[in-house]
Amino acid sequence: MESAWDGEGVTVPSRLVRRGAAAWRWMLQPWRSFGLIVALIASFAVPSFMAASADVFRLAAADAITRQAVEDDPGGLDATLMATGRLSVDGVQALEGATRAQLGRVDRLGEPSLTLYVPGADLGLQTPPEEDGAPAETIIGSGARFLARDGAIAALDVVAGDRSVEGLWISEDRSEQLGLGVGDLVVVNDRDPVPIAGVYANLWEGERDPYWDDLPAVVVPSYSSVYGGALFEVVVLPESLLLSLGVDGVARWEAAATETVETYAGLVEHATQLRGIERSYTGSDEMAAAIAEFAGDGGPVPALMTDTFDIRVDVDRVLADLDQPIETTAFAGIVLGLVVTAAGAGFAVRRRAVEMRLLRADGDAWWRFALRAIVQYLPAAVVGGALGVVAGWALIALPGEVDRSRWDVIEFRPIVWTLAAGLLVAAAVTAVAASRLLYTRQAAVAGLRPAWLLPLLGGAVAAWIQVGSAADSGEVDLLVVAFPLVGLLAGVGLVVFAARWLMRRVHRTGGSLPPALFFAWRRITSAEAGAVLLSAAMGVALGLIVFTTTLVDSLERATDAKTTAVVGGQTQAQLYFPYDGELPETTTIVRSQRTRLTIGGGVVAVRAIDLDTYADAVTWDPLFGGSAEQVVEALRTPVAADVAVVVAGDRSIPTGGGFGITTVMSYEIVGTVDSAPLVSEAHPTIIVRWDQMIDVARNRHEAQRPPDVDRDDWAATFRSPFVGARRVVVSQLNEEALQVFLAENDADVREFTTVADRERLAATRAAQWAFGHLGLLAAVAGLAAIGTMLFYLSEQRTARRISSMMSRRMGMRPLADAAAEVMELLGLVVIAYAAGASTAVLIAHRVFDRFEPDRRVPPDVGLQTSWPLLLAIAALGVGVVVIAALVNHRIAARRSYGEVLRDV
Amino acid sequence: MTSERRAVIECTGLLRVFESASGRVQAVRGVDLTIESGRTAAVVGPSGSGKTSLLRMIGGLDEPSAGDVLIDGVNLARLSRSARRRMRARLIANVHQRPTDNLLPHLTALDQVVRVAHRRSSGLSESLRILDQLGLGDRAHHLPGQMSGGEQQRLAFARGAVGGPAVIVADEPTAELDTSSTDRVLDAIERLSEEGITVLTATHDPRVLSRVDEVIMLRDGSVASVTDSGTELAVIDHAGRIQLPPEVREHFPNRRARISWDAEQRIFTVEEP
Repeated sequence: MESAWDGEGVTVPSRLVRRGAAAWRWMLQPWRSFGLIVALIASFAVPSFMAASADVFRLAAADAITRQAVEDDPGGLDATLMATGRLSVDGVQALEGATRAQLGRVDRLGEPSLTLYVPGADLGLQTPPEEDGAPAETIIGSGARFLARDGAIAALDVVAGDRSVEGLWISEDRSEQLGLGVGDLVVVNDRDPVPIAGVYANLWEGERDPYWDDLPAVVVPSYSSVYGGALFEVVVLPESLLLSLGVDGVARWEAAATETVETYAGLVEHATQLRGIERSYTGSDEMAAAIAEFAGDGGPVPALMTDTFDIRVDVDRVLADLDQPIETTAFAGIVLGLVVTAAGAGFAVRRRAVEMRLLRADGDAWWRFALRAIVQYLPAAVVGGALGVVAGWALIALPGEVDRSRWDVIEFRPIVWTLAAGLLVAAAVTAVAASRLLYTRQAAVAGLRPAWLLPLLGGAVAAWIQVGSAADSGEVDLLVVAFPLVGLLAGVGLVVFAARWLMRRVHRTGGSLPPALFFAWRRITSAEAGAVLLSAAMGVALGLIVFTTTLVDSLERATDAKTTAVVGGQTQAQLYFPYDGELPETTTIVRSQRTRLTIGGGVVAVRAIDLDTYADAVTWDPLFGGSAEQVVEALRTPVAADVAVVVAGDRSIPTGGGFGITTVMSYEIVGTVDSAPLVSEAHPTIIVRWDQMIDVARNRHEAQRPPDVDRDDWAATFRSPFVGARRVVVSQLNEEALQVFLAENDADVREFTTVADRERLAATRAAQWAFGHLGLLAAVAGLAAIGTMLFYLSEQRTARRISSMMSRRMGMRPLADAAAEVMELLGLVVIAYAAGASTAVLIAHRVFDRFEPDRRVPPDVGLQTSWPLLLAIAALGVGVVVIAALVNHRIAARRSYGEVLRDV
Repeated sequence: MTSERRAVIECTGLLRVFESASGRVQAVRGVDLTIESGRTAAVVGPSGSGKTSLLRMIGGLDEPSAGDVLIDGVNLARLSRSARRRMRARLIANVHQRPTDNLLPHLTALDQVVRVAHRRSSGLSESLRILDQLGLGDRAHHLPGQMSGGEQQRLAFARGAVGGPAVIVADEPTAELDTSSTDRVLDAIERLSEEGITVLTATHDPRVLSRVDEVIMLRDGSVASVTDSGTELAVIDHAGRIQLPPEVREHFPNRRARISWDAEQRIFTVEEP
């Protein structure tokens, strides 16, 4: 062709300027449509939110579990450094300086206090030397304990003696027992004699100075009757005197924590600083020299004693258990987010179909569309990503779950990868959708049906992460991995093909389906990419909600059951001495003992109950099986054997055997339950009547009475089979009420445990708390999916109005039209929900054992699939969809002013 | 302007079947068609007669269920999708009914044309020339939103014509234009045909019919007749069938006719039995 243009009249800017201006306008295109840019930003914000919230959530979980663990162990952050060596002035002073310096480096520890302690020394009573050469002293024992500590002497209640005198302080009991008084001389390890400076009131009787309550029990003078151990009692003396004796002993520096740790990072920091003390034994010349001075060359290094390391181990263990579900949920959330991103990209293609169709008609290749999507959506991805991070952080951090300054906890690399993946997904969807714009609608829809597989694929991958990566690949649970792919695919396929068969059959026979059903089916099968992807996203979200709520529900039920099994009632206490007094209402005493079975010789836990008070006093969880009344009734059953027993938990009790406490008794099993109050976590448990056992034992004893012994005298020699049993008070009263009542009745009762105490344990609560939080995230994700769907519907209202008008012209009633719309959406969501929920329940079933609290305590609780809960979630989803569809239908039915005018 | 005419569009037994819930629908059935280079042709027919389906196949936007469609000697029916896409980029231009559907909103008139020109190994000067030729020289730096419908549609033809494609396929290009705009678009079409480009349009517009070289009448997916330079001709398809118009068919209620062929005078007669 020849050019007819002479080049005059038109000024053409440079290519760079033209392209730059065009590129700028092109980049601004999505931002000119409010709906489009909101959809794009939201679609990128969701995966970013999921990735970021997992990090913040992990931190929140770590901090919350740390706080709980520290709270459960008062004094757990304290540290004690205990060094063994010669208690000399030089040695102690050298070590004192070095130790204080090291403890001072631990931020949370206060000023340490020094305790000098001699765990065992020879103590002799000084007597004048006798003329016949007898020794000048009489050794009265070894293993005497000495305590020197600031304020110790001042905290004694002086019976006799003078605090200003430098000497030993002994208890009133020992003074009387040994006949020692103020001024008597005693010899310690053959050194110079030292005087008794005073006698103090026994610390184990009556009131005592609170000073002693804060000391470790081992150094507090206490009542001792074992081995007549006068010398095992602690003797208090001034530090200077102890150091002058030059005996071997222990120097303890005790430093209490002045502030608690609120975060996991704080715990790690505290533990690390404490480990620094141990490292100083070899890393610090000053410390090494001090240890050598105190303990001698090659002597033992000081022992650091603190619960901090154990707390950290416990927290780390719980966190390790939680890490995988958090990762799985985050991954599933990201998959969900990417599905939303795909839907957003599909929506963008739809909104820009004219442009895309033109480019495709011009012969643009798919990769050009993909590249354009990446470049053009990049700003939206950046904005959406930032919003997602802020939202993820805000959801957890703003309520105060974590330190709000901890932005550094968010790992930005995975978020960037997530956004990159989102851009690639958007690019792929754009390329595929744009390529299909030229096809007929039917062909395009058919090609997009594989999108239904997305939630299944995501579920399979999540399942693999959940089950497979925990250990080696040999432990991969094939059922969990295969179920989403094979089972659900087959299920969904079956439904689709059945429906298709029905449609064809109706056609062939000339019959007809109800209009609503027909239109719903037509709409479902011709659903466009956006609707398919959004329903897939909702399926994943609902699956996540089901997964977490099912787990949390089951964990709560398991916790309730196991806590009830351990505590027995609302409150439990240990009786230290036999108690025959009155008991308050709803209170009973259970005798608890271990013995062996005559068959097999296995250990069995015996719980002897009082039939009259048992049923009212214990809490019987439904998961125990049966009821307290049934147990009581069963135990009343007359049996041929000595006693009737009900087996609780482990059913491996042989029938027809016996067990022995003071005498062997035969038993007959009259019932079994899955668990019971005070069930043993280590051995099979049998519940028996304590009065029946007493009667049997008494009868046996009476039968053995020698003929020449008086009946009453013989009866007085009877030993109860429960003489060594633990007496456990179980009550429905609260701790305070029970304590007051028993104190008023002079019952020696201690170690109160309540249900609330038990449930507060960090390990018990952690999994529940964590899954509860994940459920919240899942709910947020679900809301995001629903929100996107509503937005999508509102954007589609014009197309829906046309569709609706056509339906009406075909004779469809308004109500049927609305029903068709509801069924269309429901059809999509129900399939997605079935897929997501069943996958979630299966995964939850397979992983529940990992998080079950108090695994050794019966009942052995598996996942309790709560059908009402599943139905409630389904009903909620259906409700939302129905409302959304009806609202959308109503909005779509409204005609614009222009349309009304045109009709006029 | 090319002096030697050659067949640019050749359709043989072209068939397009769509699947639907109620069964299969034959939108185009057995169309035989040949259009030479530099000719303008219009496809007419009632709604549902298969005009758009036929144009989409000739434009490389859809593939036939059966039959062949050759563009400049290349059989589109035998090509893969990517090869057909490359054909669209190089030899075929599609112009849609609505002016806004043919243009990218963020590009100026010149950039719209240059973008396509680069695909066809052409460049800026050719783009400016074609704009000037279609009366858009002074609108080169305007965005589509700043142009009238007629100008937009002429611009659509300009971007289609740049770089020397073999065929421009236009589906009712004047349907949304006023009279003067239509005239200017038709002037543009004539100028392009003078340059050897074959232009095939679907239309209901009598003004278009009066200015094209051939009018192809479609009825029920088949070519009923072809009017070439004012002479209406029946079409004998590749199987030897002739489609009778409805007004003729009504004289044959039994669907039976006596046919005779005078070989000497080459007269074909259809009579009532």
